[in-house]
Amino acid sequence: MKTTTCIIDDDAIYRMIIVKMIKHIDSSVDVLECENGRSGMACLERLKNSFDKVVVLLDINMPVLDGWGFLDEMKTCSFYGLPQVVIYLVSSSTDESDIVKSKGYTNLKGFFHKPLTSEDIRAILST
Amino acid sequence: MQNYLERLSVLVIEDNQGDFILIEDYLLEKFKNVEIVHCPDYATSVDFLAKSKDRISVVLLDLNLPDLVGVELIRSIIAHNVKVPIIVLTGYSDLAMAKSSLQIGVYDYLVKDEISPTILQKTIIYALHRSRFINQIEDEKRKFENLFNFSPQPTWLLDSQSLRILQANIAAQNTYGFSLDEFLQMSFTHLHPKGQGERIEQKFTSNDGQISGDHFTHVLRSGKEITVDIYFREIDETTMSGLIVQVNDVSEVVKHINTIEVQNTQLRNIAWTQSHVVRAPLSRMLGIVNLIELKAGSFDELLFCLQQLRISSIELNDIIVGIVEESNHIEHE
Repeated sequence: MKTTTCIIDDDAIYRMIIVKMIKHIDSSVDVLECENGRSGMACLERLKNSFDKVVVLLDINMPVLDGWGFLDEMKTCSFYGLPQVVIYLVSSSTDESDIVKSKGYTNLKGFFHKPLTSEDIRAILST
Repeated sequence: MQNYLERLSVLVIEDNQGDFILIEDYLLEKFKNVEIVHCPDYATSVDFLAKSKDRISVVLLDLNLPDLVGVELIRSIIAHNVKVPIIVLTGYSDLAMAKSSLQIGVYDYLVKDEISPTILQKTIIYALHRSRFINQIEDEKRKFENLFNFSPQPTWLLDSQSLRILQANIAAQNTYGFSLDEFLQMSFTHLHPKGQGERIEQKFTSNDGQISGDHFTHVLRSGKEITVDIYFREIDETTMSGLIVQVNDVSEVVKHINTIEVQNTQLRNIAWTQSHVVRAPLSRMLGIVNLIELKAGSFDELLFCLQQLRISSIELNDIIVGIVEESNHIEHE
């Protein structure tokens, strides 16, 4: 099964780094970049009918629609709960309250702190 | 009444020697343990009282002395003799004046022609009893006045219906800058800014003796406003019904709390910045290092990565400088 990774993050350099690392580890993975939660929603909307596995790497702190807003809004969307969509929070925040808050979202697969190591990316892609 | 055994010391102020001897006889007959001091005129009486008024239990005062007479005599003796009961000795001719003297502090009067040992004894003993009660009440009154006046917190006594100020203690006068006379012309609601008097009236009728959590604003005579907590209690006595109101100036406390809350917000902002903003370029830099490790490719690629590292380093530096500035801001407040 083909994998599509959707990076939702406002930090262009970070996105560039992750794209390069993913391509290095598995060049068959499609990588899409979104600069905030709003465009991330549009991206998932487009992908909902594909049979690809979709891995979302979601930042918390973003303009327009942040990570929490994205997770909340997702619940009302048609692609909510699709088995092929896997979401990871990836944040530079080490704030304990963010980690506690993330436990309240059942559609989250996990929480990673930035930066992602190549081991992290391998683990994420193998789910 | 027969045997009055307590030690008694009587000052008899009487210029007529015959009258004095008669009274002396009666006293000796009725009191077992009596000391009698005789002064024939006003001058020697005052002299004696100045030296040893503590020795005296009661004064018998003739109203016609060679050097001073009547009301003026009574006033002068009272002025020299605060606590001991004074009993006036008078003839029929001065009866009206003797009666009116009761109003200016004399305990009782005796008409000389009617005096008998028993009447004299009874009059003296009753006067002593009464003076003891009066002194006790005066003491209590003073004690409570002191409690009220020397309380460090501004305190008022109000009429519970009109909220007019009936009494204001020294702390209230000092804190608010109004004199007692000015306070007595005011209602308690005058201390509140215009339009806020109704709120305090509601509180007083709610019977929630401690107005907790609710701060009120009071306006001092100078126009300065202070923030206060108000406590009150209703007094319902047979002679009066009023409100005791006490105020605690919390202006400074409120100011401190506000300052602390502003600082807390700033500290929370800094913590948030540390977690979300500072770590962003740092994690990016570490990510770039990860990338270099993963694929130390061409020279161009390495140069690109180093450029990105520089950008992130500069950003990180700016953020840290910003945090230091914000922290300094807190210290200076």
